[in-house]
Amino acid sequence: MDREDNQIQERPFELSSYIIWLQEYLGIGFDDRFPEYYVSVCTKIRDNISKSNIWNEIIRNLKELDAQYRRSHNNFPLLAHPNQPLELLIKPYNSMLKKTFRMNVINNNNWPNPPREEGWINPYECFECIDDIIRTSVVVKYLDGVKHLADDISKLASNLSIGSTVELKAKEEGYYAAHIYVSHVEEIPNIAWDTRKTEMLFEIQIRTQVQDLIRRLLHTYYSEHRLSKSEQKDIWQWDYKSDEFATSYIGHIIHYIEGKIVEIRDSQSEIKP
Amino acid sequence: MKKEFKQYLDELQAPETLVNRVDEIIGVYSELWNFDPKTIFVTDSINEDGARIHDSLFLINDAGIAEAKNFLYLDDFDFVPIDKILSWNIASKNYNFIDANAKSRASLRLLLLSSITFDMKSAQNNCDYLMKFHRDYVIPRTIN
Repeated sequence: MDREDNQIQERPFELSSYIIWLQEYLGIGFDDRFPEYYVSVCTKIRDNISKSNIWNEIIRNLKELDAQYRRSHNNFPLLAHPNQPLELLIKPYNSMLKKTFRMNVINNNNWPNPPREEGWINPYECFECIDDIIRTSVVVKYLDGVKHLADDISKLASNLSIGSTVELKAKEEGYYAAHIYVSHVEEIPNIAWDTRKTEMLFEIQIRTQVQDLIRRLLHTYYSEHRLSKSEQKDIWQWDYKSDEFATSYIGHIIHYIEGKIVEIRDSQSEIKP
Repeated sequence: MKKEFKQYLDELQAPETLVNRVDEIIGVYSELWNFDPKTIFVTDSINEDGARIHDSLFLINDAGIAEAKNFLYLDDFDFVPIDKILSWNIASKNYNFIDANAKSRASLRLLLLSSITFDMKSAQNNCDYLMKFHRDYVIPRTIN
């Protein structure tokens, strides 16, 4: 094995060494313009999504979907914050880089080979490869509201002949939510400012009020946890003193309790005349 | 649905699901019990999340008042013939009884000769409709 092959096989475990790895072994270098370019393109995409038919259809129908849910669920509300406007957010530049790091290295089971058939994830092409560059979130009151709203939004997209995929997330670290990935076609300017037409996805996250609270409190933990891939990772479930044990099982327990709440809510509704 | 009913519900920013349900209930009263309302009133309140919650639908004409309780999801209908109103009580908050604002709340309680009471509550611009009902329907029928 020659020196170059041997060094490709050295897996970077920190973001700084990953950036060096990108430069030295994939020839992907970052100039000073890249962060600004990234933000500029994301802003354009976000603004175009906010003017799109599907986005406006979702905004317009949220109140209606809440009323339909109340109608079939004894006036229990669907939305936790019905008057809060939906906001499209841009994935911060560093978060985007960290995600490519996870995809290329941390979670790459094909290492030292590329993670997918199309090859390595190039940060310059993140708009096509990363499905949550632009995202929003909706918070619902009850556990069953998550899938209910996800299916409703998926139907709205389908009515407009727009592709969408619903993923019900149930992660080991106690994260529970629905993620809807909606297709969006965009003219992406290259850094040299010619453009390419590309189909990308934007993400709608739906979770319960309590899961939203947990996420806000533990967001930093989740973010850092995803960057570390230690050999000890598999035994955290037995390390009851670890932060990982506590934070992960909070998410699971809350999910279970929320399920029981819906069960009780629905059974009480059946008792009423 | 009568144009003025639709207009009223639009003023309350009622979702289509609610409008359809009101229409459905008006149809039930009309077809089954030959009761056609001259006026409608939907009670509402604002919950802790800022959502507008509608509880009862009142259908009103000269013969009496019909109430569909929790009308959005239940079939719970009644009717009370009205001749005279024994007394009424109005309570309000952030409301001058003329021009409602986003913080206005008002409630009206009617006591009939038969000791039956009606409770109607309203929020925001619906307070103006409650006052109109009080002025046009309740006052003329209140015992002097």
